Amino acid sequence: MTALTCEGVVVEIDDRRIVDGVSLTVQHGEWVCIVGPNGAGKTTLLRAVLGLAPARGRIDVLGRPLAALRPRDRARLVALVPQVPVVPPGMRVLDYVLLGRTPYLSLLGSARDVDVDRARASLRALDLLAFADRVVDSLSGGERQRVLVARAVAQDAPLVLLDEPTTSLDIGHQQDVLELVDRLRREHGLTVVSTMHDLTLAGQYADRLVLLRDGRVVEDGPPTSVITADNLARHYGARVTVVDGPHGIVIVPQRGAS
Amino acid sequence: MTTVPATATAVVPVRLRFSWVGLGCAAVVVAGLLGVALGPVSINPGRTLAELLDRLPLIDVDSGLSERHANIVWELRLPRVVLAMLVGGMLTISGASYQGVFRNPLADPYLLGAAAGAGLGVTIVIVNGYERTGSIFDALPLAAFVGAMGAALLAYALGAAGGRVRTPATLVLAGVAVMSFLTAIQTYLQQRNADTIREVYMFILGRLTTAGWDEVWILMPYFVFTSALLLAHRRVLDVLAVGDQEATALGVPVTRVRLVIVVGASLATAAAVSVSGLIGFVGIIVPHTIRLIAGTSYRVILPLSLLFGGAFLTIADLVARTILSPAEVPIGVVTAFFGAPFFVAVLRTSRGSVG
Repeated sequence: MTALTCEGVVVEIDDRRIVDGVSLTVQHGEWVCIVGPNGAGKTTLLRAVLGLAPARGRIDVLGRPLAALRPRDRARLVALVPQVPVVPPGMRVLDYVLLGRTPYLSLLGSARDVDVDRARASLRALDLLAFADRVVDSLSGGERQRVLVARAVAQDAPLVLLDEPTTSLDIGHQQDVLELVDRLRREHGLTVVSTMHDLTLAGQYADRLVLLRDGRVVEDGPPTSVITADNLARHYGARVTVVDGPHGIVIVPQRGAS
Repeated sequence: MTTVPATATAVVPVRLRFSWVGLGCAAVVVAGLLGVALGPVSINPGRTLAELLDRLPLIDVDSGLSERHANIVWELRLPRVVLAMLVGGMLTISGASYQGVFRNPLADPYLLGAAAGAGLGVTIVIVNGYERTGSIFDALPLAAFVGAMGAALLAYALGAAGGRVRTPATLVLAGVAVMSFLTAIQTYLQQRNADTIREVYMFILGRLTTAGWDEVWILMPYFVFTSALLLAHRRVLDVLAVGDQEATALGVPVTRVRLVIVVGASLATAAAVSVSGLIGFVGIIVPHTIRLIAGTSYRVILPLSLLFGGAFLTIADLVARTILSPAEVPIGVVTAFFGAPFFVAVLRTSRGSVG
């Protein structure tokens, strides 16, 4: 079953083409990571899938055309874990995670018991129940990232978009968050599309990588075929050695002229 | 695995606590009673309470007030107190709504140029030889209302000028532009008609001196409609607190919701300004005090704004008319006297979240 289909997606902002005819397909349960150099259009592509960027072309989520969906119907299908979340000052973890239930409430309605139970279940799944009464902006970076994932889980959307989920986390917390996403993907049958700068981690966790450059898909396939020294030199201008280790590929930067 | 305290599962979502509502109602009753009892002619608060209770159905109490005192209570002070309650509640809930919808802790009910619009409307009427009629179609409140509403809608329209997406930042900038432009016209008119400067000035400083039951009945439908509209959006305001993009990703039709809230808050502001003039700072002081004490959720702030805003303005009006009795200090001076230092305190504690 296809979770996401993009066909000839174009996003232009201020007469500049940021995404230029992207076509890709993501199968249900798959983890696809969009990689590429700065300014390649990774985040803009995610924004287009969320309906946040004006896009031409066709975007279908679970076979339903995105353009025809109302915002709340779209939010029931696609959840976002933003790169730089806006955390309202003073908001507690339970209330923040409960925001994930917004697509299931009428515009002027209140959260029902079933929504509170769902938010609590999400906190439990992420081992965050002990933090329910804490204020979100008092949490550490790693804890906060888990709370963001918990909000997306509470949203009960089959497709989860993660925009640079490991930015500003140390290596331990980066691994924690990615393991967590992988576990949730398997347990809850989620489809994950993420953007990531760290190619080693992207290669270790994603099933498939899509390499964007100047808004176009230049490579699409399993990590070992996308992350090659040749591709990274051509598209990133980087000098690296790619080592195929026991847990996946490892990228070792090479210092000095090539 | 983190150990989960037994109490963690008992954590409940934020909600409006009964104790806060009770305290708000008590503040309204106490402020109302003081507002009716105190003034150039002091009336015993106990007797005032008895006089008020006597008019309730199924209650028969002899207040012992003379006819003159009873008239002061019913015809002079009570309408003024009720008007202060309504205006205070409306300015406060509008301010809180603006702060939520613009995600700006310093937003006030006049953010989109409503004050400048009302000021210009009133100046035009006064320089053209205004005479008070006392009817519901009196030119002064009508001009203030039309000016305030017109300015806010103009700023809202300009917020998306040039095909831009309407964001809190573009709306605030549009509000500043509208305010500067309308204030310039008003200043020009005032300078050309210096003989009417005092009347215009009285409006700008705010006043509840001409209050009677007529103003209360004119304002009441606006109070009921705008309060119901804004209260209905209190949960959505909590969602908007995560920003336009995340709120959209959570399924909120942000542009439409923002329009409804801005129109509701502007309508409340315009209606309040038309009967009370420009009373500053209420829309900032009261919501922020509630925020500091009762939490940051709009599900709590908006309902309490109506109660504590009403009580606050009633007390401010009491101070305004008693501190230099029998002369009156403009109520805007009283609110600004408390508001300006508070404004600075909010600036110092908002920790870069402004804008």
